[in-house]
Amino acid sequence: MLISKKDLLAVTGISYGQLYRWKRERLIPEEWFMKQSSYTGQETFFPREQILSRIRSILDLKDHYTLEELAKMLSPEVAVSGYSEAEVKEITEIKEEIIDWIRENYHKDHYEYADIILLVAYTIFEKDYQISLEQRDFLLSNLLNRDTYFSMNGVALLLLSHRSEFFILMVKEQMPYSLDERLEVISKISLNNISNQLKLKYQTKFYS
Amino acid sequence: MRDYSIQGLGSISGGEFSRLTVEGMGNNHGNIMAEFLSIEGVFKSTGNVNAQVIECEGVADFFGNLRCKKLVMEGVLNLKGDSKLEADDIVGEGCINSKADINADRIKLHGCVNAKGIYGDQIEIESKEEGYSTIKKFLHKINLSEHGRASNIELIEATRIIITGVYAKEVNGHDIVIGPYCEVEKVDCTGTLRVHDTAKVGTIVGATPSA
Repeated sequence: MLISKKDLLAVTGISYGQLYRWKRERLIPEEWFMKQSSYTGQETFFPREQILSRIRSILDLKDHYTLEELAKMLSPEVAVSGYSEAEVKEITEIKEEIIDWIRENYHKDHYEYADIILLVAYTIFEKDYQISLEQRDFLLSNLLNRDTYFSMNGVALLLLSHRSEFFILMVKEQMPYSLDERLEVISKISLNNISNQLKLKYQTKFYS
Repeated sequence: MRDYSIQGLGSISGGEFSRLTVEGMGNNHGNIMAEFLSIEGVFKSTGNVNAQVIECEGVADFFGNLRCKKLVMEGVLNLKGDSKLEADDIVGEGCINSKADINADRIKLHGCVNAKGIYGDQIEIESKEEGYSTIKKFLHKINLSEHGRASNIELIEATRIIITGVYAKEVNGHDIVIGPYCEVEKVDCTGTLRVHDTAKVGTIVGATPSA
């Protein structure tokens, strides 16, 4: 869902100056400024959920950090490129038992940042739904063996179900998609939101 | 980081500089990082330029993005293609010509600006002939467009906008002053709007008239 620039300023109470300063400082990605034709001419729209969450984060943090520090925290990139199993276990948003299970079943003890985001999202799915070990194997093996060139930026993870089976789909948040009507979308998680929350909570781990 | 000066004819291939000065005719092919870039002659640059302060007293053509804290204008700056200009402050007198967007916190420019969009916080553009030197009058005249104005901008969007002698298709802001000899097709104002008697304004949306 989109929000127009005018509505965005009205809802958040920020000024044009703040919006464009944050764009210039890379706190708001340029690709979120989407120009579309409207009956009054051309208007700029934003992905509603993402921009509102980003502006809330900036407003909460701008008095504690410089804009440069905030840009690092909120950008999809991280300075550190890999994490050991012990480091991942410090992230309380990931169920520890899942990490142990991955080591035992996939012999994996090294994680990329994208793995961490996906495991946080998967943990939320497991908390909310009864996913069997057999289903976990199917879902996690696909998530952890994804195409390495797949960017996590602007991606949402969908949990689908059909009868008692679960499926996971990664989609670009603003792109329309069409599903087999037997599949039901039972949960949707924005990976950008998870990334922002993790970076705010575990700053030194991800970009020091 | 080193200081480097082009005096006479010279060429560089990008690089990191503390002070980079161009006093004759300089060419650059590559990205530049500089604390201070001064252009007093003619400078043509391909590649992105990132500087703390840029002073442009001559004529500069940039075929890449320009990003700086402060841009001080005394000459003509041409941004070619879709090159963007991003700055905290743009001040001075002269002309900026761009086919893309300019994003700056504060712009206070006497002279002319041609751009697709100008976005920022405080934007003040004064395009008029009174008080200009002969050279500046000439620069002003050669930039006149089909609207008969030196400054032509599709969209200006900022918290506070003051314009004089500017043609703009659309002006959106909080507090807006449309000064003498402006022509604006559409104004969208969330605060107060002042329009000079000699200015022509088409549609006005959401404004509180101010004395």
